[in-house]
Amino acid sequence: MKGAHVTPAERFRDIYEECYPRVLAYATSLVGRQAGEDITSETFTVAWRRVRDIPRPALPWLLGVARNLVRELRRRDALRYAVAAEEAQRISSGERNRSGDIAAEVTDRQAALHALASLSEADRELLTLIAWHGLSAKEAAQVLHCTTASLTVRLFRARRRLERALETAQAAEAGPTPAAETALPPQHQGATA
Amino acid sequence: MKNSSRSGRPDAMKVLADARPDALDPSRPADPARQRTDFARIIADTAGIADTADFLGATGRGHTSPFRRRVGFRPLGAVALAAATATVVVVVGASNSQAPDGSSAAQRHTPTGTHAPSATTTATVPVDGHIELLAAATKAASAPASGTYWQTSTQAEYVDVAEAGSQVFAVHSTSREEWSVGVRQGSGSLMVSGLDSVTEPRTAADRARWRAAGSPGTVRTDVAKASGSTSAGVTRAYTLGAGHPLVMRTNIDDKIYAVGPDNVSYEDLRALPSDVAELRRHLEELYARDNGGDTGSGGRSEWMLRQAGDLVTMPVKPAVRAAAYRVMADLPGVRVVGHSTDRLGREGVAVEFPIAYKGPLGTTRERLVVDPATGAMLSDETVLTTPSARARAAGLKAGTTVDYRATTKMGWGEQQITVPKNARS
Repeated sequence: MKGAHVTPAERFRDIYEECYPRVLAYATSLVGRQAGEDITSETFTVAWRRVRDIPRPALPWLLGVARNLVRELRRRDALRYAVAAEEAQRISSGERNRSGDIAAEVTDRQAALHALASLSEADRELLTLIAWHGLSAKEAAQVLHCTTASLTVRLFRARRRLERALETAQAAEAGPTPAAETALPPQHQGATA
Repeated sequence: MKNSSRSGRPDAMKVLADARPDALDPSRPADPARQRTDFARIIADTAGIADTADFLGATGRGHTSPFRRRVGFRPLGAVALAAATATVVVVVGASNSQAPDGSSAAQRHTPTGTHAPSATTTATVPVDGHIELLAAATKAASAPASGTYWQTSTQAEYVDVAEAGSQVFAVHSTSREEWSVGVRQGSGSLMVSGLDSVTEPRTAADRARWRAAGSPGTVRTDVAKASGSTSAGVTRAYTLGAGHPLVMRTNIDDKIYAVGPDNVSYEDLRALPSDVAELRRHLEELYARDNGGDTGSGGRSEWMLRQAGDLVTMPVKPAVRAAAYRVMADLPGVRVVGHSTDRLGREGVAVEFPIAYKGPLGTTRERLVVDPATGAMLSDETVLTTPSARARAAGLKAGTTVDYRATTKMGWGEQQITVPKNARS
């Protein structure tokens, strides 16, 4: 069925099929599931209009589009954005079904999430693009519109800060005071990267 | 990660990766219905006009794409991934009066000799054409039962306005399509579109303008502000002359058609209710699922008419086909225009969609033409009601059919269709 000639529509279809879940996961991390689905839909709408411009691999480009759409939402509809970002916040801070997890694992996860939450938005964005959304440094640079070199530097620093935060958080989790549901980070008030 | 990792100083990125909230795991399934409807909407809707065929690689080779332009056209079934439910929903909501079944009315009236009251603007009052539609329903109830391949042949045309040099003129593309949907285990479904496709200036006057522009092989159409939904301009090029057919597999395993937001199997189709009220309720439920909390007026009727019209062309039980016609006849806001002739010269009744759309050619309205004598769906067409300045400049007048897809054959076959040698996939 699949000859050498792939029409733009077929390419779009393949990209859609392959990347939809990952774009959705990324968008969900920014604005929660519901708004995330809308952002994903808009992202692919843009992709279809510009199907001839989509580079290979498509994912970093798509995430870049999604990121821009989220920023546009933030500008255009601050209230809706705030609500959406709050949901994303709940998701990213690890509110989830813990029944299947081993206690120690929960603790480790909570520690990691608390550590992440204590970092700046720019650090969080960069770190999660790589650790959660599976991008390489080069691909993350495409999403964030910076050079790979400057991204490498930023990543190095962000990682150092994450390591320190992890130590702190793990100490807190392991410590005598139950650290559950401590202060949530002010994620949606938004320093930009 | 276990306790040991804590003392062992694991890589921070690994710790973070392991802590990814489950809700952000891309291997967790997305909502498949949402994914599919988005796909259909994007493919069918975004560009506003015929550039979808262009995107399909058919640049100007004049073949009509199964991804129909503008508001979707009809079931595409499942195209590899997912399926353009070609039914693209546009507006929404509306109250639906539970109109009576009306089958007795259908039996009382003959399909001939009635006249379209052209001034009818509300469809809540049954008009003669309305009754004819119900006649179609009774005819549709008697049809052969089953076979291996459900096959439809269609002929299509679409019209667009093109530019070359300083000349503005109309071009049109015509082509045929064969769609053969296998309903038995492993039989497969094929669609061959763009058969005998030709793109050329529409009339002698258009040809003269094209010549005046130097008879270019490629002409452009500028869809600056398409249907309103698209902000970006879309430019599409048509290459004049003959085109290649395109072949496409349209099933995903046993899913052979799209009904509303769902891909359905033959078994699903056969399980559809043949009772009018039940079928209506079923479609309303699909509509609710397909449209979330949107509200509006006329949208639900629009959607229901599209779905019911689509069902008629699928291998549903004859009684379901009849029920689908009755659902159509009862939809609020849907106007039945009595006698109408389709572009192939066949007489029928026209069922108008409630919502008019603004596109680059002007305001258009879609309608279905049904043969009340046989219960056959004759054609699905888009008529220009108010031409845009651009369309007028190209000689397109109000009442011009700018897009149609006429069914020339529909029924069961035992052999899969053959794919022409020059077809592309």
